[in-house]
Amino acid sequence: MQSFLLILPLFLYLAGAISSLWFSARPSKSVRWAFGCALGASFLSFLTSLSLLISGTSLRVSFPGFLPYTRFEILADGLSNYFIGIISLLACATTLFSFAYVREYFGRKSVGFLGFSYNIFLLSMILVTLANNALMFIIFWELMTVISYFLVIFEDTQEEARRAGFIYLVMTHVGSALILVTFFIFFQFTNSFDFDDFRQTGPTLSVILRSLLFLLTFIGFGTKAGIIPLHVWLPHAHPSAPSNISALMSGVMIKTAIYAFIRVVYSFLGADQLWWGLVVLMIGALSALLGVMYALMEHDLKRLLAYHSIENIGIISMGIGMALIFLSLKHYPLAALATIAGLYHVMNHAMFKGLLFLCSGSILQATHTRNIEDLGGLIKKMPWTAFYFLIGSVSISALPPFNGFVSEWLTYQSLLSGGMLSSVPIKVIAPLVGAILALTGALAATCFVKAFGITFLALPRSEHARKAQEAPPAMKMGMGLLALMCGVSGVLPTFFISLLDHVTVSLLNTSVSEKMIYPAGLALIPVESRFSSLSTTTLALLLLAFLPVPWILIRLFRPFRQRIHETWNCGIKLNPRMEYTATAFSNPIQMVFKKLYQPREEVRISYLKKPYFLKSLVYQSHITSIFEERLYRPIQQAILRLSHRVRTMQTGSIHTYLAYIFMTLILLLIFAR
Amino acid sequence: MIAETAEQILNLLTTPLLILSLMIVGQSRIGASIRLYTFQSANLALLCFAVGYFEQEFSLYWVGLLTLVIKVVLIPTVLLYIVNKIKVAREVEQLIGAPSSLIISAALIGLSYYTTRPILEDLYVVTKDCLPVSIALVLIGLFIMIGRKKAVMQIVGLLIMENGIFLAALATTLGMPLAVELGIFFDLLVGALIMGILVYHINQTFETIDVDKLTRLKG
Repeated sequence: MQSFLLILPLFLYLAGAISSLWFSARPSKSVRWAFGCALGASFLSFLTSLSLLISGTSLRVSFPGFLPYTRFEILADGLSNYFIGIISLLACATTLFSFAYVREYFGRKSVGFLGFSYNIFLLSMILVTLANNALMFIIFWELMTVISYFLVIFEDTQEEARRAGFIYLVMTHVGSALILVTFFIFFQFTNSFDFDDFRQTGPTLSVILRSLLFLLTFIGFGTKAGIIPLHVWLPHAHPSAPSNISALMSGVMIKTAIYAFIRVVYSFLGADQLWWGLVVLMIGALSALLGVMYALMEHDLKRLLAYHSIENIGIISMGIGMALIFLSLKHYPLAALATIAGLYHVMNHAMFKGLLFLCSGSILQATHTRNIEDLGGLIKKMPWTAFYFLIGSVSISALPPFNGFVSEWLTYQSLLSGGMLSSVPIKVIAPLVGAILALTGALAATCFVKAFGITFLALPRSEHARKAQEAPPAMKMGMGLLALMCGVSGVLPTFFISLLDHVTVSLLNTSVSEKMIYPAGLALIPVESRFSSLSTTTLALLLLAFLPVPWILIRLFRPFRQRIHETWNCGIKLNPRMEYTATAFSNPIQMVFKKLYQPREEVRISYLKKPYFLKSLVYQSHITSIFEERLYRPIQQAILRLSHRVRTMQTGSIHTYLAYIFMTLILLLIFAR
Repeated sequence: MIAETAEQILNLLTTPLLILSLMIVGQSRIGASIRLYTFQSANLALLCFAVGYFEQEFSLYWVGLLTLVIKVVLIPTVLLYIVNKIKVAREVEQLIGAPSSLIISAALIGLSYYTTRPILEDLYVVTKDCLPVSIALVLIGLFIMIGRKKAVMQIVGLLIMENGIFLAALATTLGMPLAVELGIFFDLLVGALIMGILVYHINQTFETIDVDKLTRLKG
């Protein structure tokens, strides 16, 4: 019965994909079928995975003879169920959102194709997490990459989207190549592509070989996850895709890489090397810090969110890195804690980043611009979108009582526990990384003060923003669901941690929920020592309780007389040009971190009469993205130079090509004699 | 005694294949080249029948019959039709002149005898002497494709190569199974048709089928 419920959604997705193409001549019907099926499928698979996770069972379904030379088998264990739950939950919200959002494309693009790709995309992500065979995994992994490529270039008339798609395809294929190499090396030693055999043989390989495999895996999956310096595709690809797809790509697609990394390193490689964890931890810290720093300088709403995905992948990597360190030191309860921290953040990021991308889609549909310098004042036109965006911002900035806070708190816990270990380098590095995480959190809050303030407050800066309208009900429902989840997973962490406990039991054979959850109530307590405990539930109740206090105080004491007037403005008429801009807001940070950003500023002034009467003043500032210009540009140029060399061979004349074949043939004949 | 006679008769039938391909190399008119190819295919069909008769391989009669229908009748008809239809100048237009082409072809024949000698020592089939000829046909076919400008001549070169490969199969294994043979014939027919249509369209689009002028397709 359960295995039937596990398989049924897969066929529903397929049905959605096919019917969407079938009805592509009639867009509204196509949309109803595509997203209707997707909604049913994701809801069903959410319920199935949740029930499997609560009961803590793992499910194995084999399809013998499905394909020659390989066994097609799916295995839904704790880790898979957890990820399927997240994917399906986010998919429910984005699908609700999509019903109304894709109307944007009616008559302009093939909605049938969009519905098709959407369903296949979800299907491939779920199958990636279910596959229990390396070949199957690679096939679904590539399917996911290719279909998301088509979604990135969905607006294929725009040069920018095509370029983004190209970068995405190149980067992810480099990653895929490394993953393939990893699996083939495993195959050399196991003579099988089954993950079960990898699990058995993997930990018995030599340390050098396993370290090589670890590096291959980290780079291969890291490319997909978007860790720095392999992140370059992310800020291009996420903004180009339609917003419902961006939500899925940023919310769950890059997480499938985290899933696969955990699976390979924990189960197949038997994480026992200290430096593996250190590498993941340091790269995580670097990604978190640089991700948020570049986000701060970004004025394109969706690119800003994309950079925040890099930051959050960094935070997740910190948790996983600490877990690997604890594992190598055989500290299983702490390893479980750090794993829970990382995995909890995976879910939280999916929820709030999905929410923020959906909000940006709602803004994009209303105003047709992603540049926040052209927005402003939207809170009056789109109050619901503004409210949801605010919830997303508070969550991503890790403010209590929302979910970002809980998982970052758990990450702090595991980082600071590192300070109590006996190993000296960890003693030094772990708290330092904790400090970096604190800085990251503060910068993220700054960034979202900017994003929310410039987009939603003050006066509209352009005609687009002035004409904005609130999103239709279906879109509000999609965003509302995610906002609700941001709240629930923040206020009731104990429930989610007891779920995650089943994951750590299946991964590490260690249960820590009894140590983490305070027996008498909804509070989290530290695993090993007792330096701090947390109850966001109480926190939320207290916040709610104090909410009416200012109002009551004003009512009771009424220290001044209330008057309603215009804002005082020195006698000049207020206009949008007087507003604080995003550039101005982020400029102090640009000045502080000049070394990193290497800004190129240009000021052009023309005077009516020097020096007091300006005619016009143009200020331009660009930041250098060091990775693209210092790392990728040289590689790109080297490849181009090499290609030009090779090109001289290519005359374009058919006779020359035939002559090449002829020569080869004759030489082979003579040599083979 | 009978085996020796059979070998001699087969040799007698093999030699014209080489001579005909050399004549195509020396030929300066497209139409004549195609007709020479027709003779070569007919010769091949005859060889097929002869091998079938000496080796009591009934399926080879079918193969020979198919060769007659497809390579002697259908393909040359299509090619000649296209040549007439697009009214190209009838000259072959060589990149490499006829005398030097002939010398190179002779060298290629020498090469194929040289390279196949070690194989022939271990080969005990009645048709084993066909093997060097078949390799020579493949090389000469490829050489025609290189040395001629007109796209139709590239097709002729390819067809000669195919004849060579067919002969190689006959020489080493007394022909492939009939099902495979049927597949190849069908492939060849469709290939020749499509190439013919392509040549026609190339001529329509660029007003030439001079392959030398089609060099701007590269990136």
